Amino acid sequence: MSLEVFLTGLIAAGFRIATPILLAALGETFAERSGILNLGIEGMMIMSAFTSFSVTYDTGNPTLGLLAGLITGGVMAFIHAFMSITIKVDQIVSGLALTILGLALSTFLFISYFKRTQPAVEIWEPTAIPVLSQIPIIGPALFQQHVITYFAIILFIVSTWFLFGTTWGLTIRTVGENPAAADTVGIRVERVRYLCTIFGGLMAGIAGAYLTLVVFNSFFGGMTAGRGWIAIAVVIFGRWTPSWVFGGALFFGLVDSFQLRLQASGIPISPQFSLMIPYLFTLIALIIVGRKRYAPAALCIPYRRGER
Amino acid sequence: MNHDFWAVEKLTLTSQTPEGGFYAGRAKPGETVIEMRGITKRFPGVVANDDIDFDVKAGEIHALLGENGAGKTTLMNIMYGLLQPDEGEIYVRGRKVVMRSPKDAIALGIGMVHQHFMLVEPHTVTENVILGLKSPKGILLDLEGAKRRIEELSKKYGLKVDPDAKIWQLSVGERQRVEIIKALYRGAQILILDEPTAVLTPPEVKELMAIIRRMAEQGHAVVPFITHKLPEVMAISDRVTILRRGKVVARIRTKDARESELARHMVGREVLFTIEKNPAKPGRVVLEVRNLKALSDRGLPALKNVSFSIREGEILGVAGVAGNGQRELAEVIAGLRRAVAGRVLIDGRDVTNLPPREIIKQGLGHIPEDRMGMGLILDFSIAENAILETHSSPPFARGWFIDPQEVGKHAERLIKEFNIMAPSKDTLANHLSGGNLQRLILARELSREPKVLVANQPTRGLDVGATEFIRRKLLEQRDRGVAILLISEDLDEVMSMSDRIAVLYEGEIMGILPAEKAKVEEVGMMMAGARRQTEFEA
Amino acid sequence: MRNLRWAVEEMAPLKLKMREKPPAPATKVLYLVATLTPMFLIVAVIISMVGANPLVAYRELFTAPFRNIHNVTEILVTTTPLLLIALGLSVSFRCKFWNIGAEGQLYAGALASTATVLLLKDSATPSAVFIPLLLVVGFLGGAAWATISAVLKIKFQINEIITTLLLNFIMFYFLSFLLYGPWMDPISVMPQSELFPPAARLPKLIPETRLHTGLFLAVLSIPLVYLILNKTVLGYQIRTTGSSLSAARFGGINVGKVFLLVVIISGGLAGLAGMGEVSGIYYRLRGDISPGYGYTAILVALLGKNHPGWVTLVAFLFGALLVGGYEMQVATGIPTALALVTQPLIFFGVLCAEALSRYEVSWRK
Repeated sequence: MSLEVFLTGLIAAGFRIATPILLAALGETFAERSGILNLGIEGMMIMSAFTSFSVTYDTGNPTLGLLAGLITGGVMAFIHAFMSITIKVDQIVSGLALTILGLALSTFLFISYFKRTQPAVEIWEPTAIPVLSQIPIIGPALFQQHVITYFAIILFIVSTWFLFGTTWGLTIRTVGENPAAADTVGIRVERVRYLCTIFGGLMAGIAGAYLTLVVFNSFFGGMTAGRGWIAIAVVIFGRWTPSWVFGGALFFGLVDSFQLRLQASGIPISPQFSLMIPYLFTLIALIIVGRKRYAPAALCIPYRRGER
Repeated sequence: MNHDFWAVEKLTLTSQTPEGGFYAGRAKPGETVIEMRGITKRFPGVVANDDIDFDVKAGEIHALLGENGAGKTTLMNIMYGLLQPDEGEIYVRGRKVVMRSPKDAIALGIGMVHQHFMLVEPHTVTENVILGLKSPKGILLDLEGAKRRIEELSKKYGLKVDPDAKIWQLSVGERQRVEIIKALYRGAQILILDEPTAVLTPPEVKELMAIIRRMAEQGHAVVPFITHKLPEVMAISDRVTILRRGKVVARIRTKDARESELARHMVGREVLFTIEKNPAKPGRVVLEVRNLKALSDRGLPALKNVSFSIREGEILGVAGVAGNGQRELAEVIAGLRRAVAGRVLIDGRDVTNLPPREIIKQGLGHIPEDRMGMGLILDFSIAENAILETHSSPPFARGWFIDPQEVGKHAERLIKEFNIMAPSKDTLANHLSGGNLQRLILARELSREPKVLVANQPTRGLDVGATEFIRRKLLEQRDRGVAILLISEDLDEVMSMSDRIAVLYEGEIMGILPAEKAKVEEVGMMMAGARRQTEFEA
Repeated sequence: MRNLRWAVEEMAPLKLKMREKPPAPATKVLYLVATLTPMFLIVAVIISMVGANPLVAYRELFTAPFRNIHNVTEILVTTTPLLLIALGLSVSFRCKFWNIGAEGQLYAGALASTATVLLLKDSATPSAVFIPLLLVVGFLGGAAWATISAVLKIKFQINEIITTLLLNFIMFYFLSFLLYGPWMDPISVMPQSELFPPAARLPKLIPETRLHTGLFLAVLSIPLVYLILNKTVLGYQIRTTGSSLSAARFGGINVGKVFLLVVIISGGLAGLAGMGEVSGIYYRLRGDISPGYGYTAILVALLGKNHPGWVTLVAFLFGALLVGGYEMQVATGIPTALALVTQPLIFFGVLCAEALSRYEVSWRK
């Protein structure tokens, strides 16, 4: 295998694997920037993966499937927002319960609908960008990706601009740092938090849909395999800034991609051991850069006006 | 939808231009801009505001005076739309309004400078000022344009501030200026100032007064809310309204009044302005701090080479504006923050960077600044709180177990000795009032019979009764031979309680002077960074 | 235009007011009924969506576990690990150390016990030595695995939620590696270890059932955890740390040590649960000895408010629900996973009921 083929494959798969992590992590970045920690990402991703799969399976239309995933993520995020913002339940508790619910419900529905069969949908083909995809190495690696991958990359650029260049971004950052200050100038803290949390859910929804429609073209219980948690780790690793989050997601993608290539290369390594590598690297990455200091000051703290 | 609400809404349609505020034309000097009639607000168990009338005219400075708990904060929050009154009406320039949120208040030209500044520390001054406002560039931030306007305002009113600085880099005085600019930027015609002088150095107070006067000259109505600091009220205001227990007890033209009269109205009895103090009988040195250096939470130098010593039976007062290293000083002594360099010695023993547990054993008592977060556990009972530092040693611990009988007896003793108002020892701390919380902390710390007591802001936010109680107890301890480090932002407290006064400025001690020779002016200058020329003692 | 914007901004749906005092117990029960009913209706809708009769399903789910002695023993079989883990977690949650890696810690305990068994299988170690040894090893295995997260939190301030969870996945793959590789039973083709020798098996409580003496461990842990939390110095330190980290530091409590001890207790109990499964039920290590006990126990501990008494009750009820789920599958063909769906929904219902008793909720006018 030539180096060129290897690199192309590595980078291409890296981006492919990074896409759902990047989407979910960017969404979570917004939620956490507004002060809401959403540990339900994993559950939202897998529920969305299920709904998008079954809708696509029934209709044969992946766009409808994507839409179903989007809505699922949004609805679940709304539940989390309601629990943690409106009735002020501990955010950790609500998020964990949502993940447990998502994992159980998706498995249950899948078994119920599809019995013990292994159904599959047609793979949603990538879109090559004309001209750019002809560049050697980079072309096939970067510009023959799926539309959702392009969307994720654009989203990361737009998020940076949005968070740091617009009034809305300033509002979001303020709500997560000092909600009382936002309140006194007439910003509706709870509303901002609702919107950010739901946005996070929508992105987790797309991430879940991407997994079934583009990566696995089928569904199975527990298929997210901790990707939602890795997205949360990536947000910490990424210091709550989109560009670092992008780096973190890509890092994970490349490690995972490398690991897959390692298995295929014929080097005698147990596949289970190899599969462990991405999680191990995430852990190590956190040890190196995952300090708490960068977290939004009001993260996880419900806002009550005039609280002493 | 409420009819009046929409009436306001229509008016605001033509406003929101930052310069003009809600006023189609500027109010003429002397015109009543805001009038509150019969405001009543009830909270569970208390009537915070009881039928209060209050008004301000354009170009007037109308101070609102009252003790903690007199209902000032409630009235202020109603004026700023954070709370809605149960009864009563508010008129802005003669028009009845209903404010449902600060947004309504802002639209009506009402601005507020909070005592605890509502600023976002990691953001710049400009970002803080334009927060929540529409940008002329649509959704894009217009930082350059905003910067220019901030500079204009800052020139017009003499509010010096760097628009590009991050808030955490600013001093307290500068932060206050940012808050004032924030209000003016929103076109505030009526400015509510919550305890504006509480945290300032005397020179900064003078500067603030000049700013307030300039604002009044420009036609703004200014309403400072003040707890004590009567001389300042006398110096700055045109009128004073005094609240006590939720009611207006006096309305006075300042030029017709005397300070003692204000005080009598405020407290409801004659107040003693001096504290009875026995002459100090200092013994040997118990606490010694040598060349101490420490970092702030952000990793910046917070203490730079601090040295002092305190003797038995002596109070060393630390004067200074908040954020000049006081918290760090207390924490380093208590072992809650690492000393980067230097030594802390208790009774000659080096306790630098020992775990808090060891320092407690060496005889340190500590009344922390953050009563509710650090000093107490709000969801614990009084009894459980009373053994925070001693729970692992006899008689409270027997082996691995805690002896509830001993703990209960101890708590009951403290409740009795320190007059803690609580139904029982099992009452949860979060059901206690601020004064009783502080009594509980004091009781707990003193029950360990410390050799050294660090008291950080021991009377902040307490009513007169609790304040007197705490001060008396501290002096009692001094007379019993305890070495006390009294850290306070209240300069009067430091001046009247201390035997010697150290002034902390930007993490350095500007000088230490004997209390009897210290003058407010001199200490004030030192609080603002002037170094004392001759040292009285090492 | 501005009117429209204001109207939208006023739309936050509910308004909450802190109650002056908590409502009467009867009212609380009413709230519970009011919030749980919709949850069960949701489940009923899901059941009918998959083409079954919700009434039949509910009958099986709730009554089948108590239908005969055998089923009751099955409840206790599932309650045993749930209770052990949840008790441990309640210690951990009480000091706000969010250990959500109990699943991995369970397997770590099972793995450590199995390693010991494989090491000593031909040594003719008597049961009286073997079993206590396995108990200790199981406890230590779970505790050691959990300690990693505690160390990462204390030394590097890394959020324990993430680390405990990542460690679950690492444990899962490590286990698969062992079961597909060096530990694979040579006489079967399944990814499982050899059968344990009889001396390494926990004695049965009732013959012909799966109920084993591990239940005693779980029951014994109830008063133990209660004592630790409420009567000991350590318990005081745990509760203080959980309520206010800065107050704990202020009071001279070594917070790092508290985290470490708490993690050892919770990880150790999860490890014991794992040991109980391999040594009491399956007599070998498999990849599926836990149907997510580690996750269910999180709900159990939280629903039980980290109080040993309540935790025990909830563990039993959730155990019954799992058994009911199995019976329901046999009777109606609805997958057992429904029980796992019901549990978090009940959880959400209870959370809402609690909120109702803390606040007065009204629609925003």
